[in-house]
Amino acid sequence: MKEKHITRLLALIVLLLVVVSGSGFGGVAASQTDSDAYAKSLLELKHTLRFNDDGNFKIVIFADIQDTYPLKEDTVRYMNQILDQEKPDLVLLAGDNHCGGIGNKSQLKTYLTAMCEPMESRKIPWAQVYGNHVEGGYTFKMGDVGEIGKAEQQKIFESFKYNISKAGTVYGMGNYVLPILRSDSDKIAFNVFGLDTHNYLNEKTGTQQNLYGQKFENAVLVENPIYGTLFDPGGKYETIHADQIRWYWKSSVALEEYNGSKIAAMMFFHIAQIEWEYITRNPKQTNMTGQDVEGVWPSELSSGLFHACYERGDVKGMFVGHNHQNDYNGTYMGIQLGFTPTIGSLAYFSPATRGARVIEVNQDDAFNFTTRMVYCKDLDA
Amino acid sequence: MKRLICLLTLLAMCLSFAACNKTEKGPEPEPENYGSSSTEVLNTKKNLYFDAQGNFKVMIFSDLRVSKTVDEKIVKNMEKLLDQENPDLVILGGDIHDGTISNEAELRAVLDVLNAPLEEREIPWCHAFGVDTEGKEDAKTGYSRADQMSVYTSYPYCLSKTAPEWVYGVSNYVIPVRLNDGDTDPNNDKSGFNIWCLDANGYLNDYQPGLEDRVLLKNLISGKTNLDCIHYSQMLWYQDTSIAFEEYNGRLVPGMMYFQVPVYQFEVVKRNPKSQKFIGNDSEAATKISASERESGIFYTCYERGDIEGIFCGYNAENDFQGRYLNMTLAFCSTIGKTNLPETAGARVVSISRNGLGMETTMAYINQ
Repeated sequence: MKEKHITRLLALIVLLLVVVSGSGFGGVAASQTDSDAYAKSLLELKHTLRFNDDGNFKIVIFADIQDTYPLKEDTVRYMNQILDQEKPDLVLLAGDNHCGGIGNKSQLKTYLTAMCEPMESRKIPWAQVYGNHVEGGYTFKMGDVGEIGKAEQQKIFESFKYNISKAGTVYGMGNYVLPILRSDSDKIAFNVFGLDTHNYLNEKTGTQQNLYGQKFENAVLVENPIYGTLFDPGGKYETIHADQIRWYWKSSVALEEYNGSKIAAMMFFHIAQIEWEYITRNPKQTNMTGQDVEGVWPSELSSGLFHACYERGDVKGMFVGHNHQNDYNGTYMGIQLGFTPTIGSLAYFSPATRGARVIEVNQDDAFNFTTRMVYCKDLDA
Repeated sequence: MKRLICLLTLLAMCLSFAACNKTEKGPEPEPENYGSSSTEVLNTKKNLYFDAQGNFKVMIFSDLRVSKTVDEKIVKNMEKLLDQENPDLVILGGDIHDGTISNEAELRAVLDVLNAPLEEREIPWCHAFGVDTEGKEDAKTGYSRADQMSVYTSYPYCLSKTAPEWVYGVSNYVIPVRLNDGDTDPNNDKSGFNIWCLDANGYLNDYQPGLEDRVLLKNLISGKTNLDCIHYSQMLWYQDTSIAFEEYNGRLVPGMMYFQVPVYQFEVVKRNPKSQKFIGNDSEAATKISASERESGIFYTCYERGDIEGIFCGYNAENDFQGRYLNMTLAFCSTIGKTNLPETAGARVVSISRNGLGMETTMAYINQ
């Protein structure tokens, strides 16, 4: 009797070991590191994105909601109205999604739940990048968000069912690509790259050591040749880091190799680069539409993202927020550079430009996607 | 028996725990390193070492711009400066010829004269191409960089190399200065300093026909400079090679970088002489420095990588000023190639110490 008992126990243990180690081997087998495996890891999204049967795909960008707790009702109402009117396949939030001053985690959760309800209730996949008001900011002292750093916020974002953003592996938080597959095959027809533009030159972010340290701003902002004529706050911001650009380039190459052909792409991030200034200074040549109310506030440190994209040849549009009243778009060196004005109303805004940007892509002509604005004032009319 | 059961259970628990750990999501697949391997980096025609005192001296002759016949004065002045400074390595930078050289015979004729002072003194040298290498903007010779490179490297003391083909331009390479001369410890091939050269490339329209008109709108940076910039593939190769070499050496290897066309950050130094420790002459003050309108970010990339102590440029060939911006030295290298030598004519001297004293740079002038 006793022996039987032991035999049974042993059998159980062996069975347990087999099951556990079996899944263990599975894990080992999955950790190949070749380029194909890398491309496949980029393709893993919570919800697969695919062009519609008619070959079209529509993206709506909301920028700078930048509200505090509780989120204002009018912002949500406008978001709902725009989503009902446009019926997008993907929604992008272009940073400063809250004001950076919500220091209580449950309040932040409640705020974000209300903020993403328009997408969640319609089952529309959505993704966010971060702005400069994430962990406090210039108007909110650093640390106002307390322990809720970007990494923690990313977890909250990912906890929503239709949020398909990723933390990413390079400097900052929320550096990722969203590949969109063709309607009629599993080939990729379009990539959406999201990048973090970080905070201010002087700040240490909650999630990662700032590269520069305190008083860096003074070292950078000596009289500068480029920005002398630009808006005063310009230059105080951090720049897109070189490791992010490396990541973009290599990811773009890996996906192209996996796909067997070049993939058209767009990028979205929070703060404009210096190249936006070419649009406003050359409205005719760049086919500028919309208004430049505020100028551009790029980082004084230019890390060359624009020219990397130009040389890579896949990114045909870059869209930012940050300047709440700018809604213009133009084309420099074949790349559309556009603003999305704020949809929120807590921070400054212009009733004339409050709205969202729409991007429409056709899978057979993805390099030539189109973009236009939707204004709240027209929804009220 | 109870003990056996306990033991087995414990063993099973341990094993399953270990197995569970295995099944946890491993690190995400990372993109590959695109850089040159340490073996490739260390493979130079002649190894460079610090001298017995732990010093290494680089001398840069930039933009000699000789035409088909070399002015004797240039060679004499070069010899004078070489004998005065005794460098361990010489960089011939930028437009070594003025773009009128159109075949191998012509290039050899010129280099035989120009390199004689170096070859005779057995001084290792290398070079980086300038914007007029394949002819001026409106008069291309059709004599390619790659073909010219093979002439350069045929000289015994020329250490110039070429990066992999996917990297834009031709004269992109790094030459390490080794810490150990190989006598005391043959297995120690660790490096103390890296000398990076990047190709300045040509004009905007050389990169893509018609690009100039697309770039040069009402511009922000240049005074309508139609020069191309350091391309992203060059920057990617530099970063990944530097990363791989850091891993190989077990520490970040400091270095310097030469490319011909200045970056706009020289303008920052110029406009803030006090705070940026401006020394020297801005002889071409009337015009902006000739940075490309395409700000491709090489300065910031070097800053973030953290290994480059100084960036050295030419092109504005009468300028010899230097200054500091964000922990880096930015220094112009003036030329000795002009018929009427300006006050600033000379060569730039870079002194590197392996003893942690860093890198210092001064000008060696003809007129002194």
